Amino acid sequence: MDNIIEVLNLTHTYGADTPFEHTAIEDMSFEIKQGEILGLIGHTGSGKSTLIQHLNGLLKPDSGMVKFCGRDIWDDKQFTREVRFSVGLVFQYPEYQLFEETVERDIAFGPTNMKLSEDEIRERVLYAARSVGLDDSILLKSPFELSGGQKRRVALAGVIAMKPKVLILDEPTAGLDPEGREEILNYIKNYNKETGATIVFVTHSMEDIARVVDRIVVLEKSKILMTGTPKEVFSRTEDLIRAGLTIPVAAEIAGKLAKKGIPVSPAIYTIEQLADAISTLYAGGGKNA
Amino acid sequence: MILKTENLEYSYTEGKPTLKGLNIEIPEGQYVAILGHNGSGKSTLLKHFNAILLPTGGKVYVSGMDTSNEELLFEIRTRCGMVFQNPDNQIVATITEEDVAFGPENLGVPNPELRARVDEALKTVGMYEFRSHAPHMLSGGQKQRIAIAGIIAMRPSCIALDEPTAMLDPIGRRDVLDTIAKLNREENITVLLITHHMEEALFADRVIVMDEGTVALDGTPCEIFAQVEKMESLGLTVPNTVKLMHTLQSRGLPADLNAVTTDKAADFIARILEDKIG
Repeated sequence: MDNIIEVLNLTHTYGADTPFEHTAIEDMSFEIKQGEILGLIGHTGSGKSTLIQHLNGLLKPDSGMVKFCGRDIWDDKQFTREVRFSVGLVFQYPEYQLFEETVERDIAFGPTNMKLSEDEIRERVLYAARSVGLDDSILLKSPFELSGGQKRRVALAGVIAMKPKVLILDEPTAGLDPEGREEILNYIKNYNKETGATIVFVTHSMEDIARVVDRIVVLEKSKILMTGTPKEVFSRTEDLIRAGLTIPVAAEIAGKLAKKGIPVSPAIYTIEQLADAISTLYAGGGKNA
Repeated sequence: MILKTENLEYSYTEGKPTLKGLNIEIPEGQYVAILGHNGSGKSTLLKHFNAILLPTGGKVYVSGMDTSNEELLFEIRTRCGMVFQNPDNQIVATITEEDVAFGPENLGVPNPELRARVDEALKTVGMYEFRSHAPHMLSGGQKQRIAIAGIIAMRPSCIALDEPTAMLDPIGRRDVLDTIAKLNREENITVLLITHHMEEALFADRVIVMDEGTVALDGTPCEIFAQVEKMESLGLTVPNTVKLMHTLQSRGLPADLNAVTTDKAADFIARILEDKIG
């Protein structure tokens, strides 16, 4: 798989040469592969938000480099602009950024800035709205008449309408009710499957990440603590807890069972996997199975 | 009963009631979690308990005081304090201890006592060492604990919290929940907690599930979460421990839907596997 984004020795310091100097990212290197869903986790203050703003050129590195499709995103002005359209960033609580009179115009804001034709814009708005499960009948409503979950999806559609090659979502499920969370996770998975777009999913929710992502990057104190598949990452329970993170409930129970001498794999992280392991042991006659 | 509603109705728009005749009684010192999907009426209900909203039908009583009696408003609001979702919307001062002092100062608490109340409240939420910090430099969880300190410095008998952990990271969330549990246990403060995280309701004595402006379910966390299908039909879910037990049950294995903590679940599973070989 090709790397769509490469982060090379990236460093970012806020308030350099002031008493508030703080290095948010320190000599960080990793890659994002074309078409994957990458989970980015880390405790508050670990550098997640600073990092994602580097991935589409909202911040400029103090040192190091971010490459998009093999080219430094700050190479020239025109390319930086292209990257900003190619890497779509959905901030936390994006519904607070809705501002247009109708849902349609709000979703159309991005594509309009891309100077696309009227027809193309219209087509993209419909496509984006449908891809997050918004009915066409909602398009003429004011975004402010909608429920919280619907507003969140309008904000998401606004970025999808730009057809970004990489979609970065910062805490897309925060504050939603269980059904709303489930819906958003499904739309993200489907969008990835249907378009092949790369997704970067920033979250505190280990349960969400366990179910959705292909690979995880864990940040701790401005650096990368570990990268790997969910299986690899969640088997390092103690390191995660030390980094101020929680682990999925299934991984926690599996760990407690292992401590009691029951042979369950440390690589378990979903309820289904755990239920499978227990069923197998139960059918095979307990712990000597 | 510290809180009581009698046929409580509330409509934001006439003819479209958000609350449809609620009869709820909450005894002093109870820890109540309120669940329900978006738009089920949870927040509307909560806002009645300190008279931010007044019933459009029926009555709400706080410590026996009718919330629609304007003369009692001040007294009612000191009895029942509220904490909201977004920590940044609740901080009014530039120094932590001044922020905590804001409420009691407005109640006219004189100075030696004011100082004592603020210090005590900050110690209770574990934020005393940050008393002279600027609140905007604190983390979300710390800010929420400051907001809670501001409420308890007014010595309420009841705290109503509307999704206080929604914007917090796992550690901030845990610290806030621990603080709430401590207030309930040690100070006997009645707690009403709205949350979208089912795991958080496990700390409560009682769970009320709202749906379309009515009470759909009311019981202990174990009683409520054992009803997996019912909860799903209400647009909710159950804690992962219960989900595990439910999955085991559906596969014909023994299951204990009351094993709601990870420790209890692990103990139970170890036991059934050991029985199998023993």
